Amino acid sequence: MIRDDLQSLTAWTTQQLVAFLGSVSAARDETAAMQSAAEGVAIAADAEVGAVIVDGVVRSCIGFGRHRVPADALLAACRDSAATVEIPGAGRAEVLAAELGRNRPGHLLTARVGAPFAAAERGMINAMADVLGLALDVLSALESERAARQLSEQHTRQVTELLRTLREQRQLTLSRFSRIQHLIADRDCPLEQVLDEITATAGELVECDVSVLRVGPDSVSTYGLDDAAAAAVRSGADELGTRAERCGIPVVDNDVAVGSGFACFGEPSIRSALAVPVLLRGSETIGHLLLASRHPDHRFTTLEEALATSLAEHAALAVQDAQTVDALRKALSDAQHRASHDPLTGLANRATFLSALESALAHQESPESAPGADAETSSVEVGDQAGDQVDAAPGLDDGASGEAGVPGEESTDDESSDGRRTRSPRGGETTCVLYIDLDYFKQINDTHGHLVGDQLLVVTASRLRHGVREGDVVARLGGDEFAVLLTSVADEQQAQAIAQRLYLAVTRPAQLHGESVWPSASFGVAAAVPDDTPISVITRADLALYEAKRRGRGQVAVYRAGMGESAA
Amino acid sequence: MSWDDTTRWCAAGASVLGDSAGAAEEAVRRALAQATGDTGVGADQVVLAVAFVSAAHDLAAVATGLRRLLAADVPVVGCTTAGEIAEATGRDSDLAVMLFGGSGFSVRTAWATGLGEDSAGTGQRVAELLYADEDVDPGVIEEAEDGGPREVVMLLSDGLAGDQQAMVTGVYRVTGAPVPLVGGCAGDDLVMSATYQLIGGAGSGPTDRVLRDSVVGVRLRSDGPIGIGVRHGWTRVGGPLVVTAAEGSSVSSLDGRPALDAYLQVLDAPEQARTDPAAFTRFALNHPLGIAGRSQDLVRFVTGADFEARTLKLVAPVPQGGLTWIMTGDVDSVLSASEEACRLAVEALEGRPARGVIAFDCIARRAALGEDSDEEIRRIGERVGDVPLIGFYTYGEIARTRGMGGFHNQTLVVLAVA
Repeated sequence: MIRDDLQSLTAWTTQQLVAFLGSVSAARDETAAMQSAAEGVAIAADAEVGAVIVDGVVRSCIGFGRHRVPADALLAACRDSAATVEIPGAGRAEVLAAELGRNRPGHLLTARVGAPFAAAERGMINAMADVLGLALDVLSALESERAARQLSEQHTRQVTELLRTLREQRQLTLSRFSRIQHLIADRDCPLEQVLDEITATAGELVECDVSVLRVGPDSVSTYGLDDAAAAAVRSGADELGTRAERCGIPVVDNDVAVGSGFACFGEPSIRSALAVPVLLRGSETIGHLLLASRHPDHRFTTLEEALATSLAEHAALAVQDAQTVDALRKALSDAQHRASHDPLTGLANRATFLSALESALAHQESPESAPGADAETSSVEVGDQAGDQVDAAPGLDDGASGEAGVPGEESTDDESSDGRRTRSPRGGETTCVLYIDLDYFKQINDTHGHLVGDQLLVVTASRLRHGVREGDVVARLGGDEFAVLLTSVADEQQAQAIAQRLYLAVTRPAQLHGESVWPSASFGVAAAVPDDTPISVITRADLALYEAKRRGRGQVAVYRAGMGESAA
Repeated sequence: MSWDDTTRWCAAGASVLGDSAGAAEEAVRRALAQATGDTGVGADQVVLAVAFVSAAHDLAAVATGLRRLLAADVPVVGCTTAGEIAEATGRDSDLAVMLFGGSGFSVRTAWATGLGEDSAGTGQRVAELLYADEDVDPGVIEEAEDGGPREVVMLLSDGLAGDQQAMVTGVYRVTGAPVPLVGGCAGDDLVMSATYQLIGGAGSGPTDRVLRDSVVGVRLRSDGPIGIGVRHGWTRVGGPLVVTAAEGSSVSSLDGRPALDAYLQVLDAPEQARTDPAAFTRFALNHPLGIAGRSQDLVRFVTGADFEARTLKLVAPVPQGGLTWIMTGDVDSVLSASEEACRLAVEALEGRPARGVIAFDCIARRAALGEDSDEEIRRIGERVGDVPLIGFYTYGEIARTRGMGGFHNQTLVVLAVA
């Protein structure tokens, strides 16, 4: 369940901003931008209603039917964060309204029936509102320039030039934002890289000299600083940024006093600076973005402030997304672990053991692979590798496999004591299975109680796990039965020696819930032979175990031909 | 008003005659016979005729046939299909007709062309016409005391033109959330060359028209409740995959890997599907992509693959950066989804029996079911009860009941009116 929640959350944080940006940026004028924003936010939120409200007027709205927009209710909802609106025929909807930014008093609003908005969605809609505010600023600048051109013929050339610059700027802005959003959406892109991109984008779009993005206690990205200055800036926060973080709003200083706080930024001196806070989910301050100019005449404009605010929003989104993906990965790996391991002992369960064994057998069949290299990992991965290995095997047939992997061909030195040729395609290594059964477990349970019995299983698991090498797999097959997969032992004799050592470890006396217990165990050992399946190896190990029990328990027996018959 | 009043009725008829006009006439005659048998009402009370017709028929001649029994001002809508669903037979009937009659229904129809050029605008124009000259806006319909919808817009669009979701968004601009949308994309028996839509009667011009590249809309109001059921029956396989690169309906990478390779690997596809385009298409029929949605994953039909470029071709756009799942299903899951869609539609009727049912069923589901598609029709009939039923196999289904998303693939959409 939690998996599904996290997945849908990730879908949200990565998916919709890109589409939204695309639709808003395609708009020719403010009206079209607002219509596509209202539709875009509703589609993104899978919501019934989307609206744009500017200066107390509902400029665009979808979802109520053409003539039924409840303007008063929407305006009220912008003021009251807990507001709801009634959608006739659909029900009462929760409203989420995000401010467009300081330049433009207004909101991007969405309303949805029957599904409250999650924190991640709030963050996303805040980012959308910022993108929209920015787009509207640029569009209105374009429109006023267009109007100016009509009024003043003599300025045509300059205005045309300005228009062109604005258009190019807008294209550049949108393409840079799009790149950032794709980086955020790419789950394999490290957070640091996204933050670096945001920092560079800030520096280039605003055309200032320096930008610094500080997120959390450790992460600092810089743009436009030489190594010495960057190191100095990294080591201590700037005053303006600290102020922005404390206040939670952008702070501008367009007349920086020489020598005040920016000394470590190097020469020429910083003359103007702008800092905006990075707010996680719109409220928790986690850092700031600082832009600074060394030019004596540079003044940070409200448009640049809006741009910086939006970039800071994207930094917050990137952090939030990285956190969500981490949580998702952890939830997935926990779920995988639960599904593949025995809850009492933490050992691999039967299914995991079988798939690890299958993988080991496949590795043995393809000589170039490194047996056991990956076998200690979780069940799902082991299973996948088994699949990959089977796929890979045919390609390795040409020459590299030598003679060892070819069934039916005699090998020189790998005859096991029952005359079967063991699987030792490389370097005389083979796969062996130990099948272990605790002797008299039922009596221990009956005498000392289930708690002690369970504790004995846990202790036995721990002793087995500590007695094997990395790469070997220890599993609890059920009840008091355990198994060990030895992925690369020299021969059966070595496997037998390991079994003897494990036997000594497992049968040491133990203090369990204040009771002294003297465990005993029987071991069966079997080596894999060509064309073995997991079941056939385990069956032989089980037959050897049966033989150990038959001989009086408390010992190690190695599989020999004919054990099957005596068992039967 | 009691549920057994005769102020509204539905009746269905079908025909396998080869002659288009004759088949239409026969289907209407059969439907009227059914209506008369049930309620003692007649052709003069018909307020809407809906015809689903094999692409082999001439739609203009079909219109002529319909008019032999229906007055010139009776609204008629219809389209060509990839197969008709007709009551009881469970087989292709080449032509299926549903009549809506009585004063308990009111109907307005409209059409617009230009779907391929401007899908959203075309949808919007149709909706504006459906709601033109209205003092009352969509949603100010006398709602049922119990709150259920009393109005629905049914859309029949050209399945080979434009972006159907954009078309639905265009309609939604006018209707908003108060009005549910249903319908299907017209087909042409999988020839994939041209589909046609039919409209005529009051409000839509003096003559019956056969259109292409169009959307035909019906605004149906009823005194009784209206129910809509939507289910697909596909389930997710493996973990989520991020659409890392896509352009329109072509997906080039999933989770940073070539899309086709990721798809084949997750599904452990058989050897033939990895090399032979035809085998791939057959395989893909049962393995659509799902896009995470609020209530149910939105299914997108994988129509083919480019073995050179290692891309997947889908029937509709997928958002880049979006989260998708590869899906699978079998005859059982598809059939249970059909039953579930019917159950949902009927359940929404607040305990009243359905008077008529229209099913919009994806042609790909039919292909996936193979010989079991008759079984599906049988089960639909069983679920909705002994009521007039028609439907067709579509090139895409339309159903919007929540949010703004309304275009579906490999899904069954069931409209039931009480």
